[in-house]
Amino acid sequence: MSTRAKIWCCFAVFLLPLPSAFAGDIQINGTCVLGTCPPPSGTSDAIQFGQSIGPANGSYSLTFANTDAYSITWTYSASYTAAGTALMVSPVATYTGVSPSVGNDVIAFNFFQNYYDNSPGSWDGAYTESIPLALFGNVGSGSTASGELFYDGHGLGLVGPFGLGSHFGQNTVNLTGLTDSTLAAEYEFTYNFAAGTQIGGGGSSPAPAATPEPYEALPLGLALAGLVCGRLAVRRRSSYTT
Amino acid sequence: MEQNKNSEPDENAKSDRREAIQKLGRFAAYAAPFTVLALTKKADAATGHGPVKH
Repeated sequence: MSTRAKIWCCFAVFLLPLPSAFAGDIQINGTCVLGTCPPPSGTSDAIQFGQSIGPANGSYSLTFANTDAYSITWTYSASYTAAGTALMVSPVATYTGVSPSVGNDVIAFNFFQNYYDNSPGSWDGAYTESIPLALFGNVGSGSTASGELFYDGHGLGLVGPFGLGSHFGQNTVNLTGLTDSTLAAEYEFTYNFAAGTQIGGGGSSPAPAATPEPYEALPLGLALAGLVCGRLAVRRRSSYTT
Repeated sequence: MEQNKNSEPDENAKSDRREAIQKLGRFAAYAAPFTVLALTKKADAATGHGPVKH
């Protein structure tokens, strides 16, 4: 392979998404749309120390019996490092019907992520949820959004329900009795769209303007590739002059 | 890998490589502000943090 080909291969690798070892699992209104809901205990659907997943994206179309239709998209990631367990999830629900919605539509979005560590001890300690929530566009009067994070069934506190606009809530709770090898995290979001919601109206965490878009991965890849190739150029130039 | 410093085609190849690398460098310069923007935006999502098992 020529040197130029090697450089371009190196460049291409930076643009590829990292493979997901153990995916997060997602349930929408009782239907498991990704993975197994809830994931089983053990190593088969969990990340272990030193592992991470994502960021990963997905989408789902939801149509209620009353014909009200919504597009639901999400981004998530999770990791387990020396800094502790971490997860990020960003669900967005947008009304896609041509005419205003006719019913009160409740969308329950559940994100599951298991962590596995069979070393002695417990997972006891301080757990923090940080939840930005927004309702945007022409949602029906009385529409709300709320969210809460659970670890092994222990809730950190409900954030919301909030109405139209951007909101934020954060809670920290000391949890005890978490002695199992598997730690099960579950992030629950509930959007309640009142009748009269119009196309483009919806709810998200975070606000729609702050949702990371896929095209933003390209500049990131380019920047990394540029750094590597810059180092390569300096090294080659110095080897030619010696 | 052994280099033939006196070969003209080899000099041309070196020049091409340098040009390609410089182009990538310019792309990186343009991309940097968008990269910062993307990383800043991701910090706004719903997050959860807990301790290491101990």
